[in-house]
Amino acid sequence: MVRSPARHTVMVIGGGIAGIQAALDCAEAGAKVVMVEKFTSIGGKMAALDKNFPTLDCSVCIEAPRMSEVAEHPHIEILAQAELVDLKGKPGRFRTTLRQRSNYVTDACTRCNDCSDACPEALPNEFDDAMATRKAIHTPFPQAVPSPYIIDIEHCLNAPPNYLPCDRCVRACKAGAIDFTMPRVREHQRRVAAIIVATGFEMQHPQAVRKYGYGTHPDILTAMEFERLVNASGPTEGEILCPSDMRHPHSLAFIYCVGSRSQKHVPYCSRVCCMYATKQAIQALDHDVPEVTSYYMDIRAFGKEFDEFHQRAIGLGAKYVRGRPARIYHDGETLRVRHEDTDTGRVSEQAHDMVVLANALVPPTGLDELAEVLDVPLGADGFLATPEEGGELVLSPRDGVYFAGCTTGPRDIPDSVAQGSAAAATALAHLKERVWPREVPVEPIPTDGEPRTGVFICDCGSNIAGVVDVPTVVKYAEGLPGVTHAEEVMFACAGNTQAEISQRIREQGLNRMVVAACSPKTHGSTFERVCSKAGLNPYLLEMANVRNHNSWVHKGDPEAATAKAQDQVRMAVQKAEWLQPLEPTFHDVTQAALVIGGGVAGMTAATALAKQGHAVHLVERQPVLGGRLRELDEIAPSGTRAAMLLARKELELAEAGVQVHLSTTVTAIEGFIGNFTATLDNGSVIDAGAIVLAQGAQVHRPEGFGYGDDPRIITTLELERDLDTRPEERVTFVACVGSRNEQRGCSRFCCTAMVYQALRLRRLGRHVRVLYRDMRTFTRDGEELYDEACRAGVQFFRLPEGRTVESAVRWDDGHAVFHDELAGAEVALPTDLLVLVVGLTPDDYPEAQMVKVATSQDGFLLELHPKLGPVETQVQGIYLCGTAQYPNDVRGAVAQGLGAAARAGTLLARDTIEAEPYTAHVITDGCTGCSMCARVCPYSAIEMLPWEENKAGKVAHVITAACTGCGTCAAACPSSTIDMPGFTDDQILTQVDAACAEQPDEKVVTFACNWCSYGGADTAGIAKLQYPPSSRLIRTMCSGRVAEKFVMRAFEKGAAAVLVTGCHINDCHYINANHQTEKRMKQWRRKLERRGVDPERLQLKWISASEGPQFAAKMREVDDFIQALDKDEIAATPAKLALRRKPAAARKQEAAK
Amino acid sequence: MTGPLVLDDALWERLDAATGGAANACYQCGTCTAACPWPALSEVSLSVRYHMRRAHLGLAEGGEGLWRCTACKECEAHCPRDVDIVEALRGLRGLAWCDRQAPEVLEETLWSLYENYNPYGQPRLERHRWARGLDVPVVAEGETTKVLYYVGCAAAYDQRLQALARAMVRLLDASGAQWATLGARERNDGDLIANVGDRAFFDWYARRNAALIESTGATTIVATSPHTVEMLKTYPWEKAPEILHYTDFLYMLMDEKKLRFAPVDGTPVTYHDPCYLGRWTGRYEAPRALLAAAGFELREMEHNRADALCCGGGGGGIFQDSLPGERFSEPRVAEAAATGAGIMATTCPFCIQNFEDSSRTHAPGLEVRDMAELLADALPEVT
Repeated sequence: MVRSPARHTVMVIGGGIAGIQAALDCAEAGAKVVMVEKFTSIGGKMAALDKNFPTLDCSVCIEAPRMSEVAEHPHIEILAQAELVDLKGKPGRFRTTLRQRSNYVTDACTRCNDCSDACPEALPNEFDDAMATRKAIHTPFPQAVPSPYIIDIEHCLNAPPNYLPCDRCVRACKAGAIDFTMPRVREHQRRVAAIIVATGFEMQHPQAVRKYGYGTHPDILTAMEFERLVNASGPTEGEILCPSDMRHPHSLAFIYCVGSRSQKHVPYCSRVCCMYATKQAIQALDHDVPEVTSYYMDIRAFGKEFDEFHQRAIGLGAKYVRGRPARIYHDGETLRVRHEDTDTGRVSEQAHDMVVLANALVPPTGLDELAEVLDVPLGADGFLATPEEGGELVLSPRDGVYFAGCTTGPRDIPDSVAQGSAAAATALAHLKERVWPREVPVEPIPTDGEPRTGVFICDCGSNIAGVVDVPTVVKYAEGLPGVTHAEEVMFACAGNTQAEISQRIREQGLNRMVVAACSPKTHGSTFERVCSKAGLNPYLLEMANVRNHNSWVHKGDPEAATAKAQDQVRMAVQKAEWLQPLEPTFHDVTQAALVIGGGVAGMTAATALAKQGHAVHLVERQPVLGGRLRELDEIAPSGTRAAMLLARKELELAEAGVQVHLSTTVTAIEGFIGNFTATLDNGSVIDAGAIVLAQGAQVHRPEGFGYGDDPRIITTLELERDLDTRPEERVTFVACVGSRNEQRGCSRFCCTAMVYQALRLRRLGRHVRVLYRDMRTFTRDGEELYDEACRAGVQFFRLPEGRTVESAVRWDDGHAVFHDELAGAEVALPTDLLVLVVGLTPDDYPEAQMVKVATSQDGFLLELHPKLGPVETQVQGIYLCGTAQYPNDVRGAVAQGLGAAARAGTLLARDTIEAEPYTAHVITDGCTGCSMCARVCPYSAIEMLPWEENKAGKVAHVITAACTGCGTCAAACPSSTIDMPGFTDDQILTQVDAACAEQPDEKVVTFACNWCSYGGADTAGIAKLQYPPSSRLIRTMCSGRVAEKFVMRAFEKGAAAVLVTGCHINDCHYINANHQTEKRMKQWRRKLERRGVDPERLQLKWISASEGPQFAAKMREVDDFIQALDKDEIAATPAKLALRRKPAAARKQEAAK
Repeated sequence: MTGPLVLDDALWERLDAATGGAANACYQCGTCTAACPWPALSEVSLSVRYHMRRAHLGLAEGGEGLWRCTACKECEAHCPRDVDIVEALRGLRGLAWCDRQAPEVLEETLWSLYENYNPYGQPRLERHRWARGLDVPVVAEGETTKVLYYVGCAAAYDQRLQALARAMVRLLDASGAQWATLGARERNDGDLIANVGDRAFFDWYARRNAALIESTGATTIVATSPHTVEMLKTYPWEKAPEILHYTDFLYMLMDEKKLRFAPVDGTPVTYHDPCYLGRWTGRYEAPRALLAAAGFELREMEHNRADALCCGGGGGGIFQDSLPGERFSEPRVAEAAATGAGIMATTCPFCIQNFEDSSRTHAPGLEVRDMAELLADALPEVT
C-alpha cells in the first residue's frame, strides 16, 4: 500500500525569506516540502534589497545561498507562478488544489539570454520596480530560482494559439528549450499535513499619498526604487542618478511614514522603514551624495544595535528633521519638501534633487482570496488575523495552518526568519513520519595527479568589481602555476552560477578549487557543496576573501586593492596545491534536548521540541516556571491575561512530556554538537544533542529619581501588580529608564506595554501623562493602541532629542519636571505616582560561557547572524531564544522559542551528524616522544603511549573524538611530526611565501583565528571601515596554531611585520589555547631582539568577531608602523635571522662588557 | 521666567471640555502647520501644531495667531490623525474669548449680532431692502413655505452682494419652485459666534434661530453662503430640514429638468472652490456642472478642488483687518488671472468680497462674479 504523502509533507505558501526558512527547517527535519510561489522566482522582497540594516550585508548575497539550498534540496518541490485555490480536509491530511501558470521554457534552458535579445516586446521590469525594462521572455533577476527564463504570455505576441505568429525566441534558442505547447494553466493536487502561510507584503502604491507628488516628477522615488538604484545589478548599476536627467543628486530627502501611521491611509506602523531609510541614508552618503535629510516623526530603532546605526548615520552627516511633510512638489528647478521642523517650529520648503518615499507596507494583492480558501479571517489591518492564544502570531485560527513573516503584519528580516522557523516547528508536529533524501552518487574526480586548479573570481555585482579590477586578477590567476582555469563570475553564489561552476569542475577535470569572493565563514559551505556536486572532495576548496578583506575596505585605492587581490588569489592557489582530500567523520546524536530557562520562550521551545518526539529537559533556577510572565497581569497590546497564557504553557509542557527541573542550575557543560553533557547542581547529569539557551534577562533597577526611597515612585512591573486598585489620581510615566543610553539599546516592548498601562489607568478616570523619547509602538496593533490612548486623553510629552531620560526629567517632590520640546517650555507635572518604565538588562549567562557562546557589545547573547541566524549561536548545537538574545515582547519571545525548537529539531531529527575532519594527526615516524604537544593541548586529547614495536620512549597519540582541531599541538611540535589537516605546515608556509612574493617590505603578514579575529576582519568589511591595504591575512582555526616557523619564514622572506591576532584571553574557542599564543609571542619577540631585529615588528592583538572597528584601527596602526620602518633594516633581517646564535660563552662575555 | 509651568488639571479639563477632546488625537507631527497657508504668507505665523500642543497642556491663552485661522481645513485635509482641528481651535478661542483675549473688532461684531442679528451694525429692518423693486415672496409669521431661501447677512446688506441675492431670485423663479424668504425677520446664521468659540452664546442663538426657521415649516433651506449651510447643520433642530447650498439645489433642479439655461457662447471662466463648499464637504462637481450647462468654458487654476487656496474670509477672517501682503486673496486672484479667463467665479459671498478687493491691486481687469450671477444671466429669456 502506498502511504499518503500527507504523512510527511508540509506546504509553504510564499517563497520569501520567511517561507525559505520554514521550508529549509522542515526539509532538514525530514519533511517533504511543497513550496508555492506566486511570482516567477522565490526570494521575495529580500532578493530585491541592496543591503540589510544594520549589518549592511549585501542582501541577495546572504539570501542567494539559501535560495539555491531550497532549489537544490531533493525534498523541496517549488511550484512557481502558482496559487492555492482549494483546501479540504483536516490537519495531517489536507487535500490541496493549486493552479500554476506555465513559463513555456523547459529545463534545457542554458540561460544564454539569446531569446530575450531576440524578443520584440519590451515591458517594465517588476523586479526593478518598473525602473528598467524587460522583454516578454526574460529572467527576473540574476539569482532567480527555480525557473531562469519565463515567457510573460499576457504580453507575448505569440500568445497561444498564435494570434500573431512570432517565433523569434524559438528560433534564437539553440537549446530548443522554448515550448509554446505547454498548457497555459495546470492544476496540481497535493496532500499535505500542514500549511505554512508566508505570503509577505506589498508596498502601498505611492500615488495613494497624492500630496507627495509621486508620478508628477521622475526624481520622486519609492524606497524600493531607490533600493534598485543603489544595487549593483539594478538599472544604473549601483550609481545614484536622478532619473530625470541622469545627474548625481546633491541633496537627497527621505520621507518617513509615507502612508503609514495615518488614519487617511494605513493606521499601523510599517515597522521597517525607519531602519531601511537610515540604511539608505548611509548608502547615499557612501555614494557621495553630500546632503541627506530625513523627515521623520519617531525614530523606531528598536532592535539590537539599531540606535547605534541611527547614530552612525548622524555621525556620517545625515540630517534628521522631525516633522511630517505636508507636501512635495516641483517648482520648475528643484523638488520642494514643505514641512515644519517641529524642534524649531519653522516651516520651510526645503529644496532637494531627489526625494525617496518610505511608503507603507500593505497586505499583498490576493491575500483576501487566499484567506477565503484557507478559511481564516483578515484582521482590521488587512493582514491575516491570529487568535494569539499561544502568545505569538504564528498559530492561525485554523489548526494545521500556520503563519510566518509579514502574513501577520509588517516585520523585519530576523523576525521573519524566526517566525519561519517557528511555523516550521509547529507544522512538523503534524508529521507522522520523516523521510531523508538519498544522496545521488557522483563519480569522484581523481585528486592524486598534478594539480589542476580552477579559480573563480566573483564580481559580487559591483561589491568587488567596483573596486578590484577583476579581469586583471583573472589574467593574473591564469598565469599562476597549477591553474588550468580562471573565470570571472557576477555572483558566484547565485544558484545558476553554482551549477555552472559545478559543471566547469567536471568539464575541466579541476582537482583543486579557489573561489575568490567573500568570507569562508559565510559562504564556505556553499562552495563546498558545489565541489561535492561535481564529485570533487570539498576539502580541496580554498577561498580568498577579496570582498570583506579587500574591496569593501580599500575603496579609495583600486590599484592597491587589485594588487592585494592578486596576492590573495596566489596565496589561495598555492595553498590549494597542498590541500589533501579529507573525509568527514560521523558521530551519533543524542536525541534529547536541554532547554535552560523556564520563561515563556524556554517553555515554548521545550514543548515544541517534545511535540516533535524528542526527550526534553527544562532546567529553571527558580522554584516556579514562567519567568517574567509571572510578573505580568495583561499582555500588551493583545490584552491576553498573562496567567491564562502561563497556565496554557504549563499544560502544554506537561502534555508534551517535558522533564522539568525546578530550583536547579547547570554547573558544567561539556561536549560538542550532538553530544553535550550537562551537570546539574543536584549532581545529576543530562545528555543532550542540542541545547537551547533561554535564560531571559534582568529587569533594570532604576537608580535615579529617588526610586526606592520615595513610595510615590514605582516601576512598570510594580504597577502591573495592582494597577486596577491603585488610588493615585495623577500618574506620570517616564519611558526608557535605563534604556537607550551608552550601555543599552532600546528594550523593544516597553513603549507598547507602557501605552497599554496608561490607557488602562485613563479608563479608570485617572489623569495620565507619559514622558517619552521616541514612541516605538511598532508591533502589530501597537500604533492603533497609541492612537486610542491619545484619543482617550492620555497626555504625551516628548523629551529632548539625544538625552537620556535620567538627565531630561527631574523629580521634584510631587512634580515631574522637564523641558517640553513641542511647547518650548519647562513644564512641571503634578504627580501622585511616578511610574518608571524599565527595560531589560543582560544577565551573566554562566551557561553561555560554559559552551563558549559570546555576548554582543551590549551584554546579551550573540546570535549566529543578526539577519538570518536570530535563534542560533556561533557554537554548533547551541540555540538561542527569548530575551537572552535581546529584549523582546511576548510575541517575539514565543516565536523565537518555537524557532529555536525548529532549528534544534533539524539536528535532533537525525541519528548521526557529520563532523569536520579537522583533527590533529601524528606522523609517528618522526615523533621523539617529547610530549610538548600533550602538554599544550587544552582538551587533553593527546596521550603519550609506548611504541607498539619494542622501541624505547613514547609516541604521541591523538584521541580523535576529543580533538577539536585548534592545532596548538602542531605549533608546539619541535620536529614537525604532528600536523593539522586543512592547516598543515606546508599549506601555511606556502601562503606565507605567496604573501611575500612581491614587495614583501610593504606587507604585514597577519594571522587570524577563525572564530574571533577573522570574524572581526569580516565585520570591519561589512561596516566598510577603511584601512590601508598592507595586510595579507592567513586564517587558522586558532591563534594557537601559529608556529614559530611561520613567523620566522615571513621575516626571512622580507615581510615588514608580522601580526598575530586571536580571541581575547578567556574568550578562546579552544578553552585556553591562546594562552600558548601569548607565551610563544613573548619568546619569539625575545628571539628577534637577540638577533638584532626590532621585536616591535612582531605584534599581537586580541580582536573579537564583533570588533570590526578595533580590527581596522589595528590595521591602520601597523601600517603607520611599517611606513616608518627603514627599508634597509627590513632587507637586512633575513641575513640576521640566518646567523646562528653566538656560543653562550661569547654572549656572557658581551654581557660582562 | 519664574520657574516651570505647572500643569493644572482643572485647566486641562476645562479645555478638554471646550474642545470636545478634539486635539487629543494629535501626535505633533507638524503636517498641519506646514499645510497651513499662513506660514507661506506671513512671518507672523499661525502654528496649528503649537495650538494643538497648548490644548494638550491645558493652556488656553494663545496670542494673535489663534485668531488668524480661516477654518479653511487645509490642515485637516493633511492631518494623519484626522484631528478635528477647526473644532479644537474654536475651543481654544472660546476660552481666550472668556478671558477677553480676543481682537476687539470681534467683540464689537458679536454685540452687533446680539443687538441687530447682523454683524454690520445695520438696523434689522433694513435687511430686506435688497429686494426693493422685486417681487420676493416673504413668509410672514404664521405662514409657511416649502423652500426657504436663506439670504444671509452679506448678500442682504452688502451693496455689491445684493446683486447676488437678486440673481438668486431670478434663478429660483425660473425653476418654478415654491419658495420664500424670511424677509426682515431673517437673522445671521451665527457663523462668527461659532468661530469665536462662544459656545453658550451660540447654543442660545442657534436654538432661537432654529425655532424661527422651523416656524416656517420649510422642508428645504437654500442658502447663498456655504458658511450658512455648515452652520445650520449644527443647529439643535426639532426636525432637521434639508439644508442645501444653492449650487446643490440648482444642480438638483437641473437634473430634474426643472431648470434650463440658454447656454452662453463658451465665455472662459475660472472657478474658485470655497473652502466651506469644497474641503469642508467635498462638493466640487455640481458647480462645475452648472457652469458647463450654462455654456461657460472652465479654465482650472493650478490649485483646484481639494487643493484650492483659501480667500481668507472664513473663521471670522472676513471681519478682521489684514495687511496688504498678508491676504490669502492676493495670490489667489493672481492665479485666477493667470488662467487667462477674464472671469473668476465662486460660490461664497466672503470669497467675492475678498477677491474683488484684491483684484484691484493684484489682478486688474479680472471680473469677480458669483456663480449665481453668471447662471442668472444664462437663463432663457422669459417668453
